[in-house]
This record gives sequence, structure tokens and C-alpha cells, in this order.
Amino acid sequence: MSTAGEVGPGPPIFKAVSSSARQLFQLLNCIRFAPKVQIAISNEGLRFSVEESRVLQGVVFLDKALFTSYNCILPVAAADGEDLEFSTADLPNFQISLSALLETLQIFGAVDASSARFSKPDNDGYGSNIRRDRSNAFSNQALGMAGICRLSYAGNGSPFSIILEEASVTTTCNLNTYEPESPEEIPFQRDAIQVKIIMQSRWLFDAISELSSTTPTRLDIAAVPNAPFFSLSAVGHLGSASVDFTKGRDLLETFTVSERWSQSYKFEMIKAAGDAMRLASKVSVRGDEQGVLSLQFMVEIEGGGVSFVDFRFVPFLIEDEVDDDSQEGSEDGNDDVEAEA
Amino acid sequence: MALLSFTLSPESLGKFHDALVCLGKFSEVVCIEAVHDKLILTALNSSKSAYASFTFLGNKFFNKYHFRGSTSNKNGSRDKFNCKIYNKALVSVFKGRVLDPTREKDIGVEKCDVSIEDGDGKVKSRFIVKTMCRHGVLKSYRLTFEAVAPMHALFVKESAYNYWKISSKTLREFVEHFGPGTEQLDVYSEEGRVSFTSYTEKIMSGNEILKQPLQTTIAIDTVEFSKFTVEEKLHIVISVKDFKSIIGHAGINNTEVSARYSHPSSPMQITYIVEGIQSEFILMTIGESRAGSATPVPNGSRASSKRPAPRQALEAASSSIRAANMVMPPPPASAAPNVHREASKSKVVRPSPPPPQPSIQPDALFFPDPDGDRRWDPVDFDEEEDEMLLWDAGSDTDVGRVNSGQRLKNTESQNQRSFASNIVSAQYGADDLLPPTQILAPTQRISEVHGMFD
Repeated sequence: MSTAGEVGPGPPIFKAVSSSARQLFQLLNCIRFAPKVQIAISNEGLRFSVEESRVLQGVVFLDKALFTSYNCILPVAAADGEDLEFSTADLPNFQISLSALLETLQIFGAVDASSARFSKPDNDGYGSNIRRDRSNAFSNQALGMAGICRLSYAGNGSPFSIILEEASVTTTCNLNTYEPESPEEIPFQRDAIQVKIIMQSRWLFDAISELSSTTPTRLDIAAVPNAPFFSLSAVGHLGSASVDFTKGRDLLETFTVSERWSQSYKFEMIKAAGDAMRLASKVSVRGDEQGVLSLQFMVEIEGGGVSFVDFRFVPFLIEDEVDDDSQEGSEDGNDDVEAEA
Repeated sequence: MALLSFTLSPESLGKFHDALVCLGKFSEVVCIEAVHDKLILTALNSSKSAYASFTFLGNKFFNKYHFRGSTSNKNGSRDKFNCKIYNKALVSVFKGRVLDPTREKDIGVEKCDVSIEDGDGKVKSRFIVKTMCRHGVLKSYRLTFEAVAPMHALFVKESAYNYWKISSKTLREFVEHFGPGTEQLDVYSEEGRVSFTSYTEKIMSGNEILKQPLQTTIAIDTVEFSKFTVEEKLHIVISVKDFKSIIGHAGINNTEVSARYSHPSSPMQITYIVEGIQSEFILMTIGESRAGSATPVPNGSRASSKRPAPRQALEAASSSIRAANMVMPPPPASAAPNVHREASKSKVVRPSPPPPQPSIQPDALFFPDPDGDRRWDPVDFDEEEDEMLLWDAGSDTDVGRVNSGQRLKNTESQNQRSFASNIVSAQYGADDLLPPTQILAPTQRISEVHGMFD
């Protein structure tokens, strides 16, 4: 409270107005795998980050361009420095409950079309081939009655306020803020990237949902310079499955890999990015030499512009083990030749 | 070297998937049987009362079908391959996605190669599915399987003298009207009209109604059938769920569905052929324990307590699904034979309208018929304690009992008391000259009494 008092007399350090709570919801819904989200406010926008067990991290950056107005008065000490020099630690930084935030944003039915599915995001995506958050013809958005969403934050210790207005109904939500944790980011070595693939996000989503039918615990990702180029495989108790993107050059917009790169990740973690895969148009898959996987999703925002949702995954430690399924795979190839003959 | 290999086109993949979905409604595992010219998928439900099988003809259905024995030695080669796989795995593997040329981003299936390897130590035994999709996406699955011989249900066609045949589309329209909660389907024909009646019987537990009776009858002229030779006034009862599963599959194809059956408690066979696929279902029909009743749901719905539960009948019947005939087993004796139980049943069946007050209703089950009551009616109960009031009231008629109930403060205690008095009568049945003071006081709430009303 004392810290709030310091800032209290002055204007709130952050104020922003968005014409669509839906966009914010869509983006933030991509990272709803953790209960709390850490928010960092900067002059460029809002950075929402969530993490799980230090092995999975998801970041949504809401650029100030997404807002119709964006005011950020940073504390004096920080404002003195060069804008670009900010480290997130110096910026207003706090945690709020992610589920509460999402509930708030959809209080006017921001996701009316998908609210039924909302509670079970793992629902196989094929029922919702069409972008599931697409508004229908008679939704408020389509009728031009889109609500206004105001975000504000007075300063350390004060709540994060969201004011939603829609058709003369105003909802004010004050979400309690929590002390920020400062978990270290999952280190991703941009200078030691071993594989970089840019592809349709839809295809990655398709592959992951295909593999999830075997209820695996582990997802193996392999990228090689020649066929099958990029391969995702998983082993479950009913058998194994793999999806190969064999026509690497046509299918993958960018494909850069110098030598065989293969890592395994916890399947559930990758699945946590499922909402982002479904929503995004393109995904950039990158892996560094330590095996950290970065999935960067490009989400097209209605009315132009793009936003990015980032995920980083720490791989399983690879032990010396006989990967019997890759063996199977090679035998399998021979058999196929025989079968053809 | 693959023991079996076949190739599915996108269209046949869709049909294969449909068949798997249909089989999935019967059992969670699919039995696969391959011989040199055909592939047979079967499913038998857990109570063994319904059996479904799809036969895919090698040369007609598949683009390529090749079955060979496990060894090249012609003596050693197997002429048959059997295995069992979880339907869930297969359904997701053969998820037929129709190639839509307008959607460039979609990954449609172009070709699906399936092979089964069953090595003797060298090669792992796997059911391998390779799906070639557009844009060069290759999905491959290696499923484990269990080498088990399937269970087949047999059907003696010769003895099934009842036969009808109807368009699957027409049948589907009818099935859509069956109530969602209904359990049994009764097929009955009389004077050129065929009625399909889906119904549920009332199930009660205490005063709580677990299942409301529901009945939907669809009457069709026999003209609608392309063939119809059925014994007049024959009731044949099958499970609505199974029938719906079958028609759900048959209805998406334009075909003619044939049904053959003989008499209740003998199996019914439903068959249809869609290009390259022969579908056969064998369903157990529910035994006719109420041969006299003409309507599927008698007016006195509570008569259900008289009959054994249909499930029990099904299970019992299923054990002899292979046999053409069987005798309906007697109702399972769940409780020890009890004079009052029997007596109460006989009372239930009588066609009198139900008592007006629900709180009174259970008495009908607990009390033996009024004559029995009167026989044990103690004369001097008036002078007894308050708890004996009810007994006094029960002395005359049902009406008298209702009045006594009104004297009591709440219905709960009323129920208790009536139950107590029931025990009283039971006690008297055992040794009749007990002094009234030794009569059991109510010890159990009526709501705790289970299994007496169903």
C-alpha cells in the first residue's frame, strides 16, 4: 500500500485503450497453460509471459500498435535511461491471475463462437477447421458494437484495472497484482541456431494433433538436410506414429539445417502451444545447439497487422538409449521397396 | 516382408473410417481377420449381445490387396491372419479427411498404404499405416496388436423365417424419431402396418423416478418395404442403441437393409452391401417374457417389476448367441424367496390405477394383498402405543391407511411406519402369537431401502 501511495497522486503509470477485447483475448488465450502471468510494461507495449516448471515458457507481446491509445509514464529512474536499454527488471513488472484476466476479457462474450470449446482447448481441431474465433455475422463485433477495453495500472501494489464498455454496460475489474517472480528466461542462443524452419502453422498443428492420438509422453523432432527433412514422431502405448514433411522445399517456406538435429520434448508441453498453432498463420521453428526449441507464431490480427507469440521449450536430456523406433523406421523403408516390387 | 498389404484410396479410406466408427459403437476393440481375398473387421460387444462385422472384398474395395503367408513355403504359409487392435487407435489413424482442392493449406490424404508385419523375432509385429498426404506430408503409424482369433457370432439363416428389406435412407428417417433416452425397440406387424416402437420402461428407486417411461411408435405401411414376409403380430425386441448404430452407418450409404429373424430370444441378423463392403450385424432379441401382452408398454407401467430387467435378459441370452434357440431364463432370484415379496408382486400387476398420493405408493409394494393383512390384523391395536397407530389404520382398506397416514405429522415418518408395519406383518408371518410389545420398531428409513422397486 505504501508503494501505491507514492504513485497514487500522480497519473497512473500505464493507461491503454483497445477497441477490441477479443484480440487481446485471442492472443492471451494462446498461453493459458499456467495460472499466473507476468506482465511487464514498456513504452513499446505489454509483455505477458508465463512459464511452467522452468522448461516451458510462453510470451505474448501486445504491441502498442494494437491499442488505439497507449500511454506509459515510466517511473523516473527508468525514464531517464535510453528506451532501448531497458531490461525487463527495471520496468513495471507484476503478476496477475491469467484465468481471471481471460475471464474478464471475455465477459461480454468476446469469444461467443468458441466459448463452448473454450474449456477444452485440446478438443481436436478438425471440428474447427475454420478459424474458431471468427465472429459470426450477428455478433456484436460484426455489427460495429464492439466494446471498448481500457487497461490501467497505477503503480506498484495497485491493482491492474480493466474497464470494459459495451452498449452502455460498463464492467470494471480490478485484478490483484502479485509480486513478480523473476525467473530466468529459458536461454536461447540466437547465435548458435542449428535449425530454422518457417512453415504454415496449420500444418504443425495438424501434425501434433495427429500424433496426439497415440497419447505419447514424448515428442521427437528431427531435422535433416535431405529427405525426410523435418519429422515429428511420438511413441505411445498403442504404437508409434510419425509425421514427415518429405517435400521439404515446397512445404517449408524456410528450411535451414546444416546437419542432423534431433531432440525430444515433453509432448504435453508442445501441446500447450496448440492454441497458438491453431490461431497463427505461420510458425518459425528454431533450435539451438543446446536443444532449446523456440516456436515463434505469427498471428494475423483482424484489421491488419501481426502479433507474435513465442514459446520456448527445454528438451529432454538425451541419454544413450537404443532408439528402437528409428530402427523400425529404416527396416520399414526396406519393406516398402519389397512391397512395391 | 509384410504379411498383408493393401492400399486405400481417399474415398475408400473414408468408408473404412465409417466402418470403424460403426464398430466402435459396439466394442472398443476391433478384430481384424485377413484371408487371401478379403479383410474382415468384427466387433462383439461386452455383453456379447451384439456383433458387427464388415467384410471388405480384396479386389473390389481396395486399390491393391495382397495377402501372403508368413513364410514362402507353401505348406507353412498361413491361410489366415487374425489380430485385435484398439478401435480408438485405428479410428484416429484412418481419420478420413476428404481432399478439398479449394483449401490449399489443408493436408488432404492422397493415398493410404497399410501393411501388417508379423515377424518371428526378426521383424517387430506391427500394424503399419502410411498415409501420403498432399504437399508431401507422410504420416506413418506403427500400431501394436494382439494376435487373437476373433469371436464370430453365427446366424442360422434357414431358421429365420421372418424377413424384410427396406431402403437404408427410409430407415434412417424413422430412426431419427426414436427418443434419445429409449432403450428397446419393438418391431411388430399387423394387417399391413409395421410399427417400430422405441420405448423405455419406468425405473424407480424408492420414490425417486430414475427413468421416465417413454415410447415412440412409428407405423409404416408394408409397401415401404421392398420385401416383407413376417409373421403377423410377432413382437421382436432389440436394443435401440445397437439398431441406431447400424442405421447410422447404413444410412450414409444408399443401400437396402435386410433383416432376418425367427422369434424372440433368437438372434436377428441385419445385412446390407455397399460396394465392396458386406456388412452384417447379429443382435440378440429380448426374450418374450410377457407373451400375453399385446402392446410393448403395458398400461400399468409398473409391471416392469414383474419382468426381469432387459439387460439381464440380454446377458443371459447372449451366452448362447451361437445357438439358434434358447429358453428364457427365470427371473434372477436376487433376494431370498419371500412370501411377502411374491405377494406384493402379484398385487403390483393388477391393473388398478396407481394410488393418488406418491407417498402412499410404496405401500403397494410393501404390503401384501389386503386379505393377507386382514388375516393378521390384531384387534387390540387401538390401545397400543402411538407407533402402532398405523397398524390400526391398515386394518381395513387402503383408504383407511391413507387416513391414518394423514394423522401422522410428516410423510417421512409415515413411510417409516408403514414399513414398520410391513415388518410387523412379516414377523407375524413367522410366529404369529408374539405379544405386541415385542414387535420391531422401525429401524430403517424407507429411503434406505433399495432394490425393492425395480
